Amino acid sequence: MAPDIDKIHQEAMVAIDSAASFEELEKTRIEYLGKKGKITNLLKSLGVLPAEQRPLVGKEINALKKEFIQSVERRLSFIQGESLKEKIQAEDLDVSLPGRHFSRVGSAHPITLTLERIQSIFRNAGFLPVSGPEIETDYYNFEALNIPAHHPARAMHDTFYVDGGYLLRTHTSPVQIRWMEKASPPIRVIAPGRVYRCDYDQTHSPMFHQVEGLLLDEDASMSQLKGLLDNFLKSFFQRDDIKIRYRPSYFPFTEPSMEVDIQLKSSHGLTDWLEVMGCGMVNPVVLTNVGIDPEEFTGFAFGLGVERLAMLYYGISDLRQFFVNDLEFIGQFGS
Amino acid sequence: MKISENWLREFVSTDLSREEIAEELTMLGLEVDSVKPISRYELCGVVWGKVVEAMPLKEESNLKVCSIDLGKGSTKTVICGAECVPKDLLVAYAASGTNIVGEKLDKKQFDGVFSDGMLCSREDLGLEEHSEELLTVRESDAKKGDSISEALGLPDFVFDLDLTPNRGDCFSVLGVARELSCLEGNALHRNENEPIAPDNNDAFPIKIDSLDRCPKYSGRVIRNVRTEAKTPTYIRERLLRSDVRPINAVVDITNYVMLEMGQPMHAFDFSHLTEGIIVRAGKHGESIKLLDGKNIDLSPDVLVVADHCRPVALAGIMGGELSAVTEQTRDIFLESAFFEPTSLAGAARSFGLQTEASTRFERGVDPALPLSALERATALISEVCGGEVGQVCSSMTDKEIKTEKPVEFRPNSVNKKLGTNLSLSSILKTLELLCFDVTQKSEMLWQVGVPSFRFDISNEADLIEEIGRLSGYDKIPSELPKLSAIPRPFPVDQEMRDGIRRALVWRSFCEVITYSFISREMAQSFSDSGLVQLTNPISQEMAFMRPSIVSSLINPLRYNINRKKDQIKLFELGKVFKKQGKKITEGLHLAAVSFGHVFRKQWDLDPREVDFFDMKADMVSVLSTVCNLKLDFIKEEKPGLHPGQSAVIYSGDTEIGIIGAIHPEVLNRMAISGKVLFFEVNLDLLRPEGAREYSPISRFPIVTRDISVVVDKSISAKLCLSAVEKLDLPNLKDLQLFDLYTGQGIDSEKKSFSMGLIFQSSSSTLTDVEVDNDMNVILKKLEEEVGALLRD
Repeated sequence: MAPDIDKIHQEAMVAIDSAASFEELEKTRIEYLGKKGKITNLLKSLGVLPAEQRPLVGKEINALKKEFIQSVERRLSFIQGESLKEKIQAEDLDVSLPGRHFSRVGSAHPITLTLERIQSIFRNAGFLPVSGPEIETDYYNFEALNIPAHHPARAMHDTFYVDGGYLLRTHTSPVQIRWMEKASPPIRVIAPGRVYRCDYDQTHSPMFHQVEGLLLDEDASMSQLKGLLDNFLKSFFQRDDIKIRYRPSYFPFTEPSMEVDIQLKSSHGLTDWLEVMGCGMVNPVVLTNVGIDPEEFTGFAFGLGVERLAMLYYGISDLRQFFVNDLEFIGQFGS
Repeated sequence: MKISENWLREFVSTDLSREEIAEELTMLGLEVDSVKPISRYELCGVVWGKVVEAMPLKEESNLKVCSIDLGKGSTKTVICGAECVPKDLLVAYAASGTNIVGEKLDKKQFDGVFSDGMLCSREDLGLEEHSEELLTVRESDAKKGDSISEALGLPDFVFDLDLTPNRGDCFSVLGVARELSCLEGNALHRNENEPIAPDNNDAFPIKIDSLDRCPKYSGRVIRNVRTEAKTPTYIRERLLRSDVRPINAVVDITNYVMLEMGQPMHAFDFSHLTEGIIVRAGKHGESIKLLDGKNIDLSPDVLVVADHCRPVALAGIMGGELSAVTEQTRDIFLESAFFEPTSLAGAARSFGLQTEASTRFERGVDPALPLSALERATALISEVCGGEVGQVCSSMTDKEIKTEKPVEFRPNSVNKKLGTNLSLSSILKTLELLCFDVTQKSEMLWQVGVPSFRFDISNEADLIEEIGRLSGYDKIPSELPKLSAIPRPFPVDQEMRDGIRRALVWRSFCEVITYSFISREMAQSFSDSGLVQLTNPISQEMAFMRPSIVSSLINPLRYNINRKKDQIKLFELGKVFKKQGKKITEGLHLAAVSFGHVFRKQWDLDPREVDFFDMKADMVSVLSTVCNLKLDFIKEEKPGLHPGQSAVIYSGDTEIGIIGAIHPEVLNRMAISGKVLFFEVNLDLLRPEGAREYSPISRFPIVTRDISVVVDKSISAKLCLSAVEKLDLPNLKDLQLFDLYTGQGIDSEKKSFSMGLIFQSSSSTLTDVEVDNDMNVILKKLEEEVGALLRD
């Protein structure tokens, strides 16, 4: 009997180690442990042995069975490992291939991005964005702002007229009038929007964007106006070394009036003075026009051209680029 | 306004350099745009010479051989191509070997004759861009052999000032000098224009009908004026430096006085004036031909200077052609008047006539000037052209001419408004430097008289500005405003706009900004009524305010198609305009267009052209980021849209927008081939919701069922879905249409919809029986409402 067991043991171990797949291993398992399997048969044949041999041979066969089962399990996990390895190898990717885009991120217009930057800075200073109509009356665009008919300042505003006696607003300043008419001080608002002037050449666009700001309080002063604008310009250009100059100017709706010039550092040294904003203390005549007592409240207002700031910020030299809407241009500024 | 540096320095003594003057003027509010030299070149080698003889080089040649006397016995021979070589004047001559216009002048040979140097025009010397005439001076203005620099007043520079409209008083050399003198407290040198004793009793009656518009008018007759006299070189040169074209001695002198003092003047040919001057309103039916040849029809709005027969000038703007002073004129009438700023501003602009005179009168000319300017001009004319001077004739209102009242001024308001710490004495000193007449009624209240040349000072704020500007805005400290405004939420409509913009960008769209005005054709392509028209458009392409944004998106779309882009997705947020009766309404719209591939060509996706359902998904997802609306899409014919592939978008009963394909016929007209999808939504109709209300999450399992039903082809998806929704089954959580099928196995008149249903109860685990019951109800309803049968 014993040689039988040894032989089966040897053969079984060879068969297990040579099983290359789950199927082959299962076949081997059945060959030895199935109903008619070789080890099963050995166990069945125990009965014919003399009683005194049975315990010893039985023990040997059981040891064989146990070893067989353990070997099958070992082989099984080996085959599993191998097959996973194969599977993983088969799933190998070229990770440098481009990602699959059902949609690509588009882009916002640089004017919008600039407007958002301007607004977020003033929002931090407590300014509320407000808006007004683009088709205005003569009253809101001129009269209420202390620019009566025939005022020479009207020559600086080449105005578009539409039928019915209306006009396209030439600046965002009418929004401050409309806001002061309905709100009561203290007031901190900014009014961004489109404005229109009848002027079209290399450096003028018939439509452009302005942001108007207004602060009205009991003790607003020129020094506060300077403080606010100094900080705005430094934040906008993200640099503290910017040079800022306040120069006397004239707007009928502010008195005193100033123009703000800046000098930026470039690789060639300082730029020339660049005009970036107009501002001043709200003219008492304007306050009276909207029914606010100039003895009780003073205010300051400022205005800026968005295209101008965008050009300086992004280094764009041609104003007209903004309105051609070439995707190659718009796509450069992010979203 | 341009003025010569040398001229300015005649009126004010200052140690400031040219650059410092420019800087100081700018910081006083008189912005200096540029400071430019008269000539970029050294002209020291160029001298005056007198042409003794000029003979043609040979027959039919334009060239002349000229013999030039340079004084002190020196004579040169020069070949010259100028048309006119005057013998009675001195001519600019550059010897060979000298450097002019940056080049060394060589001896040149013409037909065997050597030209030793050349006669120069202003252009040759870099004094002017274009001039063909030779540069000449009167013999009395220079000596032969002298360098041309002295007579021309060289070297000199021109300040180009960009004056603000409030500073009419600075529209002259005197005015600018006065500002500069205020700064340093330096003396201003004025010409003392002593009255000139009349040579005779010549007088000319003056009558003013419109005293409110012309409070003061003076003039005088000068007879036997030699109008053909050559204008003195210094006057001519200074006019040129101020961009005023020399015409003849009399006109040049009136212009010179205007530039110097700021008083516009006019000289009439006296022989064309009848009986007397009347300053009056124009009359309907009257017209006048002006100096520039333009014919102007008059009306009572226009102030004219007339004689007893006809209008002879547009008051303060331009003289008439008929009475213009020419070289044939012998007797002149010289006008010097004060016109109210408001009396001619509108007129000058409505006729498109902005003249040197009207620019000054509109902004305000010192009413104290007319008489002294008249004396100054008379003196210059007598000196240059001779003549017999008549009496000064004047007419004026008996009221005070400038009604600017003294301004009540509280000196402590200066520091309050500027945020400065100026002393009372420095405030007083500044006001006095600026020629204000200060009476201190008390420490806290001053009364400030305004000088006659200032038209921009009427209240305290104006005076505060004067003090601020003179002490320098740079000296005002910089501090932050106190926070006293009320905190408020960011406006929801703006938040909505920002949200929409971001959502579109994340779905591949690029934002554009287009002009709000478009052509009639483009406007009408998508809108049939209520167009708002510009009365003064820049061009027909920009003559209408857009009624829809999509009409503005066609141009950038076409532009980018022509740039060979194969996927174009654009959007714009902005106003649209509509006329309703007499009123104009504005609405905030969003529109997007999509053209070309759904996604760009890539290695693992098959390209496909964009269609209606891509656009619908874009629109629905974008709007869902900002508000939770239930939208209906209903077919309706709209201008510019493909009738089979477009819909009106409703939220409840409100039409909030349109979506679909642009009509192929419109695309043909715009020369676009391919399909263009778009949507346009009126954002004013979307009310962004406040906080969305929380609904509790059920902890019981969900049960899913899919069904396929067969319906007539005419039954829309919406009909099917809403039949089920109408049941309002409490356990039906979700219903999605996920397949549409036609073809094999289905009647050709029918189609099959597949729907996925999700059931869930908030209070218990659903049993199969409960779900089956609901399914039976749903199938029964579908059959009743849309004739739907379960597909086998």
